[in-house]
Amino acid sequence: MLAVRHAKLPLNPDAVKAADEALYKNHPELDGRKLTMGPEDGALRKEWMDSYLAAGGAVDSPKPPSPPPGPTTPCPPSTYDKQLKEAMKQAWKDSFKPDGTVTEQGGSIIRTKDGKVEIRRASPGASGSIPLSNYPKLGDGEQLIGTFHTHPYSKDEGGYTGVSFSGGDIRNFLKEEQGDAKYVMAGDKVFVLTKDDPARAAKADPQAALDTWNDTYSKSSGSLPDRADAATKAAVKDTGLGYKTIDP
Amino acid sequence: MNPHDDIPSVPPISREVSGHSQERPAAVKTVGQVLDHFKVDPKNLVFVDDPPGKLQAVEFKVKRKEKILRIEVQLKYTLELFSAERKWDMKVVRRATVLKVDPPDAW
Repeated sequence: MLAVRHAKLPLNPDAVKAADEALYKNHPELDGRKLTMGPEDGALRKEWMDSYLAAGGAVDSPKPPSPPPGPTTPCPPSTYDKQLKEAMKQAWKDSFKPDGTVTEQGGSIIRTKDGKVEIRRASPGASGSIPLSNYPKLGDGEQLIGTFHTHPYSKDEGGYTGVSFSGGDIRNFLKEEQGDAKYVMAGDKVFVLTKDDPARAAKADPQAALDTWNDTYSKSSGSLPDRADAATKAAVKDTGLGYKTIDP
Repeated sequence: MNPHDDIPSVPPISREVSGHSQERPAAVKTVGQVLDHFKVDPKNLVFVDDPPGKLQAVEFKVKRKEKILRIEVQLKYTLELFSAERKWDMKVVRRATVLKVDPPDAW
């Protein structure tokens, strides 16, 4: 299995600079191009990380094998910190309008040029969910760590909380460049998708994941939150994605 | 049986030729207009909801020459389009307002 190393946050700006310089010096053909998270840049990412560590950067402790999905498990602190928690709680509050209706809120988790992590909010959509085009655009040298959005339900929609990913969420995460982590704030729970095996995720069929989600939901029983959870577990199976539930 | 036998075949649309059987309505307003245009059987629709239960789009495949094209019709969500069972009333879906048809040149 591919070992995935994550740089410990906050990043060491001097080590980032040294790793960037070494990479672009050794690979002038890159011409300053930012590395992607796809399998085609896997070797270059490893090289960058080796240089980063050699220059004094640190990585998070190796993660143990992913537990089976279901029970609440802690999320890697590298991407789920206080700043993100607060942003998601605020987004949840903002999802409920005074007139009783709701609208999804969300944003992007961005690593800036100097290694800081910033949360930037997306514009809400016109139809209750957030179009991908409404998420903030990256600036020069910035990297998308992940995204988050809310799943609110009004009283007229049953007032549900704890509703996990939709099939569309999973399809988009596999299909689009949305970073390595995707969070859904659902009030009393936060759901997390992570690209645990990026090479495998890059090969997974996004449409099949959506179809599996839909099929599983229709065959499952229980409440809407229970069925969405079961459908998400089934949809991410064998895709290289990790799925967790954590406390808000 | 060809797995694509039930996918409607749609010729390219000439927007200049009036009276064409596949002519696009002048102003698209409802999902029903789009489904009728492409002659889509409702049983072949894929429902895309987000958050789960809140319908945001319907998708279907059409044959364009030898290629299979996936069309997404994004619609304006209203409370009527919420279903905890994910079983939507086609009458309600058909009268939903279209926000976007993607890809636009398929239309």
